[in-house]
Amino acid sequence: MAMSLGFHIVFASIGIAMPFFMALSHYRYLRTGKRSYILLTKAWSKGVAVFFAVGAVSGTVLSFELGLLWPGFMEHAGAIIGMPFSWEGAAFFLEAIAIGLFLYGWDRLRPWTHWFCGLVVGISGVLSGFFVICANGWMNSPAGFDWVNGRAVNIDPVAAMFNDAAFIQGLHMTVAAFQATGFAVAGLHALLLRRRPRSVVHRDALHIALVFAAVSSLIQPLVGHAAAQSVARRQPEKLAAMEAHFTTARRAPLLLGGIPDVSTGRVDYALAVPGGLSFLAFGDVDAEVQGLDAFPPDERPPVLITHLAFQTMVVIGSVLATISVVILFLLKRRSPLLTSRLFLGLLAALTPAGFIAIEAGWTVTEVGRQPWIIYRVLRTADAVTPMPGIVVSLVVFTVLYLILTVLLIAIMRRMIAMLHAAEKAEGAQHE
Amino acid sequence: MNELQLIEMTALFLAVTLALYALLGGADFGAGIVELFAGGRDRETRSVINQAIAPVWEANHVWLIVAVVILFTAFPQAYARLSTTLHIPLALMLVGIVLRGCAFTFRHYDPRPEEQDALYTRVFALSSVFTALLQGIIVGAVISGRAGSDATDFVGLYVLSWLHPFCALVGVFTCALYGTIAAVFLVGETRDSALRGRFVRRAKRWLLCTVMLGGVVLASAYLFDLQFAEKFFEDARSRLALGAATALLPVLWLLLTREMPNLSRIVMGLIVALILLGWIAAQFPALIPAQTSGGEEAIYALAAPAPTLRLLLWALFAGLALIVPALIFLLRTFKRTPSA
Repeated sequence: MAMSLGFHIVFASIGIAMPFFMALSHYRYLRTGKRSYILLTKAWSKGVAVFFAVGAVSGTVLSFELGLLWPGFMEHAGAIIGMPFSWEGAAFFLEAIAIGLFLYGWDRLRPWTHWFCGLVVGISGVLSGFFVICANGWMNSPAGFDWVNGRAVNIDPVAAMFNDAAFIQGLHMTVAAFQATGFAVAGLHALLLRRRPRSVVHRDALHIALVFAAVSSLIQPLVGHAAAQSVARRQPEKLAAMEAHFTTARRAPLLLGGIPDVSTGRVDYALAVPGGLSFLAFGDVDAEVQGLDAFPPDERPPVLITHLAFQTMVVIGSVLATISVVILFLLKRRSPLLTSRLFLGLLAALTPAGFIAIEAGWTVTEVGRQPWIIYRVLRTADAVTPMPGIVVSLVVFTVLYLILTVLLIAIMRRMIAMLHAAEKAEGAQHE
Repeated sequence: MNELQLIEMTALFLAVTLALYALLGGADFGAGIVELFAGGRDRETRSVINQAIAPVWEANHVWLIVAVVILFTAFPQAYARLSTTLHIPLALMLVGIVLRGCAFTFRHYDPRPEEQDALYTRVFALSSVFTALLQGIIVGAVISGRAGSDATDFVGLYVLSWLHPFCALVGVFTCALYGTIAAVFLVGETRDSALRGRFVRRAKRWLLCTVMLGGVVLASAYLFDLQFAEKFFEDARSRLALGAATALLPVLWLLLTREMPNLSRIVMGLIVALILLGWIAAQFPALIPAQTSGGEEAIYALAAPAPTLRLLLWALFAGLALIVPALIFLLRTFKRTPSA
């Protein structure tokens, strides 16, 4: 399931953010009539259509995998957390309708109605993402039921949906979607612009993507910080694993880098900032931060993976935030440095960065919740399907997704070639 | 609304979403199936299919997700149970869904389709059949009570729950039904009268096929001594459904002959709804019938508590209030039968 989610999240993120990029490009076209904007909007919409399709079918797989892989979870959780899934379903339905209208309605709808449909795709995408994350938030911060004798009673689906973790997780992921998609799209267009420096389409695309990328990257550290503080309060062992914090202490040090060794309870090669962890987690340098030693051994999440994933995410986030300051500065100044080969090369290199951070972040939150599937209520081991040979499913779907990825890349390349041909034709017309 | 009514209302919603999925999603799968049987050289059929499906397929398939969400929210234990015993056919169905959706979209958007067109087309057509087959097998497994198996060994629980001639026949029937839905819908997708004539003849052939297979399915239910057969012919509602569906067949035939596509679609939709009604009436109130009577799980026992159901129904009503107008707008934008 992690594999399907890891695959789906890339497409879902693109589906959340890209419609807004397109809406902006489309808006500029409707307002200025500048041809490069319509070429860009149409090119982007073709890419989005293909990505959306893959995202949609992988999402279908997930809704079934909940039961196929975790029947022990769903039989308890379904009634409690089904609500956000139904809202997600509704939002996704609107999104599917809107995208049909947008992709195929160029000649059948009035221009601004058509534009609005494109915007609806984005809005419903954001909403459906938010709702589905409420469900994950509930797994981390269960609410809205009492667990009596291995069953859930007194179910309150509203309390379940609006659990403590829902909002901050939802916000963090939504910002991440814009951040990752922004840098990926910017990186792609930067690479192409580097090869075709006179392309107006790529220049416009770069500008739009960079605005989204930079703004979201500067918001994200604040949101991430709030998310971490939420985790410190609600899931102290997850925080301990994230930070490789083995021993409960006041003035807990913040460890930068380092490789944790579970057997000795030490972290080697780390740079320690005294009091840093206490301060970040609770705003007080003297606050006590629980270490892994405060929890029974069978309730401690795997430290190595959680810690390395967390550090990966934070490093990438910091790098992107720093670059974003530069980007905004260059954009404001309309500096030619923005489209210099050096800078474009840098952006191209950062193409996958945001998505790596997303995968790392999901690893943190999911692995960091182990051994629980519902935090401190139900263990993952008790929820998994009894069917033997699950590995077969895993292999089949992995192979399937790999094939799809390869095909997608081939198609993208051809679409880019078509865009270049179209731009050339437009240019020839104006000569 | 008391608790029993809540449960029944929810079950009704589930049935309606399944019917809509069978009709709309079925039309999409059916298109691939029709394409497969139409032969590689039938370019016109292919291009009509492409145009017809492209704007609406994403929306059509969401009904399945809605159905699954209703199932796991309102009847979570049933969802868990079915997901366990029917793990293999469900997983295979998902592979089919993924391949079909991607093959269709890639074929449509690949700027140089000639290179991989044959691959996409083959995958699209085969995965359409494959998925339809599996969906029928899954339904057959539920109807026959095999899915409610309480075997304890691997083969008994995970294989025999669905691998059985009756289930296979329901699978084939589903393919034929979907093909018919698509063939009927296709009639309205073209203005060209020669092409229309061909589509009408095709739709009639598919209709005949489906009727025959339907008969075979019912006969086999008897032959295999399934509880389902008994209940189907005893229950007044399923008899009524069967009767009404049969009565509509000559109506559909006539509408097709007269080339009246919109009415044909409506009647086709009614027939599909009646088929589903017949199925459900035969097993109501059991959600997962069992092979031995008394072992079945009725919706009342399996349902989630009232607060969950109430909120779910509100969410469904609110959602539909938004979605149905939007869906109508979508279909009208693209399906208005083109006037000369």
